[in-house]
Amino acid sequence: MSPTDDSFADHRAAWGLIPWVVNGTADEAARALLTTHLAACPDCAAEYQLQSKLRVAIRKSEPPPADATSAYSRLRQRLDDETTGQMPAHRAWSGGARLLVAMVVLEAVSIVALSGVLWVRGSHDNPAVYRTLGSGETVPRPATIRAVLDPALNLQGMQELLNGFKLQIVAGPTDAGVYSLAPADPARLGDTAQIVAALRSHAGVRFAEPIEATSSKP
Amino acid sequence: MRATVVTPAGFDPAPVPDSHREVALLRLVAAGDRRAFEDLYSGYFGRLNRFLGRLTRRTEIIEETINDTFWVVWQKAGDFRGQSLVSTWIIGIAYRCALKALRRNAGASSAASFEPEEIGYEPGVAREREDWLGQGLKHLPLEQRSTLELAYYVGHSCEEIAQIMECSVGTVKARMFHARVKLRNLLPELAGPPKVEQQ
Repeated sequence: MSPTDDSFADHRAAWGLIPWVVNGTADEAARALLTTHLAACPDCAAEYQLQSKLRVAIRKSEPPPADATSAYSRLRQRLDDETTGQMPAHRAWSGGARLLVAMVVLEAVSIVALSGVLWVRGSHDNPAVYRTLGSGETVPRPATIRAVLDPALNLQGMQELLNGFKLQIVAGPTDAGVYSLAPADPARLGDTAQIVAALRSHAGVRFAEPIEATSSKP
Repeated sequence: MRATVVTPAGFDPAPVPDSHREVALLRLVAAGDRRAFEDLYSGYFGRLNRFLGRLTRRTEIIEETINDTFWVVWQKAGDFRGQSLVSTWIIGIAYRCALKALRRNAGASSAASFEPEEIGYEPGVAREREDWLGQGLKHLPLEQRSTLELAYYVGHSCEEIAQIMECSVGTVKARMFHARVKLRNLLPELAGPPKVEQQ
């Protein structure tokens, strides 16, 4: 390689380093190499000046107007909807995808309805015992405890807390985040005071109180 | 002739995120902490608005993209393993969300949205600067524009930009090279103050 080639390669390398030295992210060796080169190369020195001006201009340019508060309130609503299961997992589905899903759901509902009619007709003479998952308890269990959980508690933490105390959610959360709870074992309905005391000492519980027997609202 | 040596010491440093705090916030977000999530959102809104504003001027697309970005952050915070800066991770998500949003809104964003009448800024020096800079930048492909913005406004290194844009370091260097060459011809204002016209 001739000295001219070496010089050209150095010039190319230095020219490529300029943006990263200008923005302060190049390492010490790169900065030293460029500094040496700039002292001898007017073209690169001019380019360094130009890129520095460009950086200043970009950093001073105005961002578009935007409202963080209203934007966050929309995102919070989206998260709330997801938490309460009122919304599909992602709203970015196209209209075509939504239409396809609607058609599939409609078809599934039709099949289920038709199956139900056929089953009812076929079972009239010999009725079978048919139980759904929810048919085990026809009488709703009364809530015995009101509790507000720490908002930082995630789903797994909440499950561990409830399983630890052998409690079930009867209702809630309300707008204020209040859950109505009851012991999973009806035999423990009389242990409400002890359970409330234990809940109050748990780090994941902000508030807990027994529910009067006459009240069943969360 | 000896050229004047200029060092970057005279420039304002690029905004440096508090990475330890951000990692702590992200861990809380992974545990479902809404307050930490809001803190992280507030801390990034301005930065993302600024970055995304270089890709489109439509406020509704920018805000939608920021919310899409943080929707992903909320869902994937637990997957963050610290292999990059939190800022690199979040801006990478924002970049990909922006590409999707721009594809969804094709024809109504990107270069066309840099027309001066859509900018809507306060008149004055900032507007003039924005005009010539925006007019120059709008001639660059989105990838080159993003590379310049990430390097010169956000202050990311070449390697971090490669992570954000999911490409090689060589590709980032090539995009920067082509952006610089184009802007040399497109932005004569960069070479110095405008000459006074003779009456």
